[in-house]
Amino acid sequence: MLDTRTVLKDYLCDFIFAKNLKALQPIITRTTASDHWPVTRSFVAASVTAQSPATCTAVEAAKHVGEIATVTYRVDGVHQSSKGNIFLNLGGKYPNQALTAWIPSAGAGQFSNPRQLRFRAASSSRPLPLIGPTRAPMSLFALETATPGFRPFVLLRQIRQQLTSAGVSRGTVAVADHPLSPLRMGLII
Amino acid sequence: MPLATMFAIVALLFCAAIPTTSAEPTSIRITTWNLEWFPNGSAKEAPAEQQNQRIKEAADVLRPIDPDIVLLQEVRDYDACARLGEAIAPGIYHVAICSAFREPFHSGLGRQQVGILSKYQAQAAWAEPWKSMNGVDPPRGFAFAWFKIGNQDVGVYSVHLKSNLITRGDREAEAAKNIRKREVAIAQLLTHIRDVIEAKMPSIKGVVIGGDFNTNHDQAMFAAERTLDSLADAGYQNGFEGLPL
Repeated sequence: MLDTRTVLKDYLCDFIFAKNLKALQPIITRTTASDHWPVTRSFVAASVTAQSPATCTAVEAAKHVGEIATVTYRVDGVHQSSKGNIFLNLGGKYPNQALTAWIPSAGAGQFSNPRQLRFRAASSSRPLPLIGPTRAPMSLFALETATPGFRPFVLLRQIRQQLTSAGVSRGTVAVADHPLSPLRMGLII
Repeated sequence: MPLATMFAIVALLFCAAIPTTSAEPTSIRITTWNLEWFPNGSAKEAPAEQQNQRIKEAADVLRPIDPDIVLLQEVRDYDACARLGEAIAPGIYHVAICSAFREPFHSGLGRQQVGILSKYQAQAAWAEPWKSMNGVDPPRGFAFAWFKIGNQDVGVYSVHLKSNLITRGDREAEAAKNIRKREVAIAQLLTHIRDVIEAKMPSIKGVVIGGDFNTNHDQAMFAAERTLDSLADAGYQNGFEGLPL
């Protein structure tokens, strides 16, 4: 059995770009070919739902648990813990932020100055998108940063709270390799 | 134990953002697949039985995905595209376009063409080879089709950019050449959109570009490559941006 993540990392060279059309949620599907198919390399199957993604503010993001949503926000605070983790307070200053983005220490080293994120957010003409989660109850958000090719992942604090109130308490923080990033990411399951 | 080979298709479904007369946006599903020397399976001509089998297997994969438009790469010719469309769903798919590019240093047509299958009849379609530019000579070219979907005009490109194959010479230098060929090809594509589509077919607002780009943002060897960035800079949204897996 091939590891999908490995396949993605090695072979994801197929893309679809769109302009003036809303390109939406890609979903990975897999197919097992018969013995006769002479595939010499592996591909990744993906399809995209017809659902239009919601665009919302950071404050409204928690209403979109289980959906793909583009969240625009302002970085109101950046904190790096003694252990090296980076926390971004989005959509408000601590403790009233709408979201808390977490960049694990393993990936934090890629930022010589975490405040560059703040700078980028302030200087960018385009809002930084947060994309995800893929499906409930997993809450995984990708944060595009100023570092080329590097997309750390953030945890949506309010989603975690909702999961907790929904009985998915003590949400386990799992770590997994993300195929599109060298970073090991954190996610709540 | 049978060798189960996992393969995949990259598909994208999107809602057109252009206002329509109906309340709901028009949704279309687009799939791209490099079929690898289809239907022969290699550069050599395969027996008819093997070709038929590969066509059937590819169709069996595409049928449940039910794409409205299929962007194909490495298809041998128009006939291969047509047979694939018929195998997916008889009478449903039309070959909007299949290129007929020549291979450099070979006689006759190449066997790695690009094509577009669609449930919609194309308003217009053509294929065009990349042009040599300042000594950079990208292989193959693009296939383009103009579809009227609902009351919207959408332009769709299928591309297969230069591979990373290096058979001789200095590896580093050859790799740089491959990258440059992809960058030049995309620059030409964007020029085509600006000078032909936007200038001559202003009703086409939505544009889709899909295919095998032979590059990505995830591998160090492509770190400095501008192929995908050029599209992003031109306002194109990557359907896989932020793909959470």
